[in-house]
Amino acid sequence: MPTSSEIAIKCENVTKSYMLGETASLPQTLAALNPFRATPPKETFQALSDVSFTVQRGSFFGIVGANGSGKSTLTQTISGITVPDSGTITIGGTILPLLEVGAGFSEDLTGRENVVLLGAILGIPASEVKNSIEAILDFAGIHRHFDTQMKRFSSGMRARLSFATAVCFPADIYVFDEVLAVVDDDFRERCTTEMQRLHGEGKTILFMSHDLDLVGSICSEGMWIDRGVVRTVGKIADVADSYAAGAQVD
Amino acid sequence: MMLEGQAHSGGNPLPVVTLGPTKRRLRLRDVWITRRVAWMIGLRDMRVKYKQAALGPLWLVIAPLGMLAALTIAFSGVTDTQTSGIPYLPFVLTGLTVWTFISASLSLGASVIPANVALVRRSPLPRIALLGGSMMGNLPPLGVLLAFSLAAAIGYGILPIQALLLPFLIAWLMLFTYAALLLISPIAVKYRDTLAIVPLIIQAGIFITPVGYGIDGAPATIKVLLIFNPATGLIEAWRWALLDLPNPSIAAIAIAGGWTLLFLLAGWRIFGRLEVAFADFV
Repeated sequence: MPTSSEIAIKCENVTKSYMLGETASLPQTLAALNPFRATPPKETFQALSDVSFTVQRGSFFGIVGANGSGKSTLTQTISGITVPDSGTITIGGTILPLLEVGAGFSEDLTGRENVVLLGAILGIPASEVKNSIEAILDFAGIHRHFDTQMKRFSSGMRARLSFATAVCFPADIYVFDEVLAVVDDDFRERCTTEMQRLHGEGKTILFMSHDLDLVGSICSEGMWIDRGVVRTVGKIADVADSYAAGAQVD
Repeated sequence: MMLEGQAHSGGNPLPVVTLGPTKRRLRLRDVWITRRVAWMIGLRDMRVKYKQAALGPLWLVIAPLGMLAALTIAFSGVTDTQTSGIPYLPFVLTGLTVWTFISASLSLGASVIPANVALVRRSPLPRIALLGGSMMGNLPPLGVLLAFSLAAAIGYGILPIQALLLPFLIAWLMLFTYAALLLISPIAVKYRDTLAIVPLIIQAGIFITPVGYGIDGAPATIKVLLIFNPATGLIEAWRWALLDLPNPSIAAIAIAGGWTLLFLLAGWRIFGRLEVAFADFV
């Protein structure tokens, strides 16, 4: 019987819409002030429709879907960045989201300053950040540039530091959203090895990508999300099959 | 040993959080919990401000001296302003200390959420930390101007005993500024109009705030208007504490206290209410 302590992430009927069109503009203000015409309600777009799925603790869970399928909205919602319109999400454990390469980094700070700042932003205790720095440096392999301003980094170096920082900080659940798309094959290989090591330590990993082969090769379970609707949840092989078939039909 | 360790790692009770639709999630203790990251964001803003500048942090000293010169020429040179018998240099420096902190904090703080769009959209950092951080980034100029003011007051031999109340005055200045930021910064997320309003407030504000002049010399009707400017009460209180200003306007000080409380209560409500949708609109 799965108890609540064995569940890492549980989404129940999560729905999230966004407004279409500009948030504010002079024509809109003038239209709103016109007493003779009612302002038409703004159009909305449903990014997530009634999404339900469960990720067991210690699972390596992949989420596949084309661009615009709602993956990023889902990660933002799970990470507590944005609030759903309805539904609930239960998270068991501390969560560390890496939703974009270099998210939280400042161009004018050095690599080291950025790592320390990102640790604080993610709520990692200062002592843990200090302990992690050596491992981050080794993993990112940017020793010579660590005390140089970020704007002098190549995009590959930025991505390596970003990923290294995320995997070296302690958490129970790691969320990676399309972060391996910009690194070279060699570093991607090391990243997958590192994620497998975290998985081996009993950590939960949520990995989003539109790259079906990558997800299929590293995840054990997963989900296919299509235009905000969950199409398949279960063993990664079943998810991959239905995604490949579904993508062909569309 | 092994078994114990495994059993421990398997049954370790983890913190469970439930997320769902909510109209507000901001708690007062978030301000306290995020103090370290707020401080680091402030530190980042301080560092970044003078990076790749040949004179670097020397601008912290040059910039206020430029303002000081301009105000002295305008109000002491062109118009012979009334300063209740206080020498002009400490008089204008005290006003400038208060005004510079408020105006710099407002101009940075009004756009702090859009300016940190990557953090707002991609990290779970409580957004309230960005406010404190952006305000703390303005502490070095405050420190420099405060040192100038104190040096001038001591140099003219007019520093009174009530200067011991300075920590409270600094706390009030910061609380007022924080309250104003709570009110103004969330609005910019949806309506960038505030980014046009704030420079206007700052540019026009220095003329309708007794920074370079005193309210004592103003005609009665103008004085009433000036008293309703929250910065007036703050400056009056500072001049009383640092320069022994005779007959500071109690009305102005009380009104400034009222504005502080009003901004704080309204700002806390508005920030908390709008904060949940920051990532969707920024």
